[in-house]
Amino acid sequence: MFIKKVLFPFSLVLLLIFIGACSQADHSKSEQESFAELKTYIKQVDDVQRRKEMLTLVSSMENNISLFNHELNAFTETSSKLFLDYDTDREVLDKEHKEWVQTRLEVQENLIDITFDFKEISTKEEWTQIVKLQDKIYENNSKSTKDN
Amino acid sequence: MLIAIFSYFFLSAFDEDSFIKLTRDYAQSQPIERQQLLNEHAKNMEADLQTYVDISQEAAKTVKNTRLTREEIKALLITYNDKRESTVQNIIDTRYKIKDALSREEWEEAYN
Repeated sequence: MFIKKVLFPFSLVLLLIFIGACSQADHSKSEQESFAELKTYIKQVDDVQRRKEMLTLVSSMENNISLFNHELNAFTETSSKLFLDYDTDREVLDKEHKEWVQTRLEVQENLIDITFDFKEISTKEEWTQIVKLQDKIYENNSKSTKDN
Repeated sequence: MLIAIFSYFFLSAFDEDSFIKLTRDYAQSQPIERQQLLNEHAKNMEADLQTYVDISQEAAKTVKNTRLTREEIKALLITYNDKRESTVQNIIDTRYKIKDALSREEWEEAYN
């Protein structure tokens, strides 16, 4: 009875946490690799000034995505706990949600700015390649957040 | 690229699938009238989730190959975020309707 009621669910939770952590580490790695690929490509740009500006944009992109992932994890964890607590008032959950929505919007707007900034300083050929590499980063990020 | 900003960033803020499944599982053990009520809530939540996905896809389609300016894209983003937000509010409403229909003990039995 003890095994069925306590030990088994506990082991299951530990296993799920372990699988989640492995999968998260794996996707974070792919995301980092995609960023490295983008940086490697940009380092080949001949013009020193443009290259410098592009690397600053990549760094800003990294910061925004990292903020997004951090806030998403925090929101998911807090809101789940709050909601499962029978005594939590709706206003408390709404406040958490509102703050999350605001952060998400800020990240999205920053990423739109980064995209347009990239476009303004790139040649057509560079732009095509940069978009391809950026999409790879987003794809890895979406896999990672989905698995959370 | 812009499609990603409009769609990928919305994938996992909620885990409604598990909540819907737990609601349906719990409903099965309940008297018929209550079963119908809980299943109805689960159905509404599924419909709202589908609307959420549809809006995200519509947003992605709208920005695909677009030639809009930076400001126009940002305005579009706010429009679609607001649309999605109203669906999220419906989902939260339904969650609370379910909570209101259950006692503390029943709630803990169903979801904890």
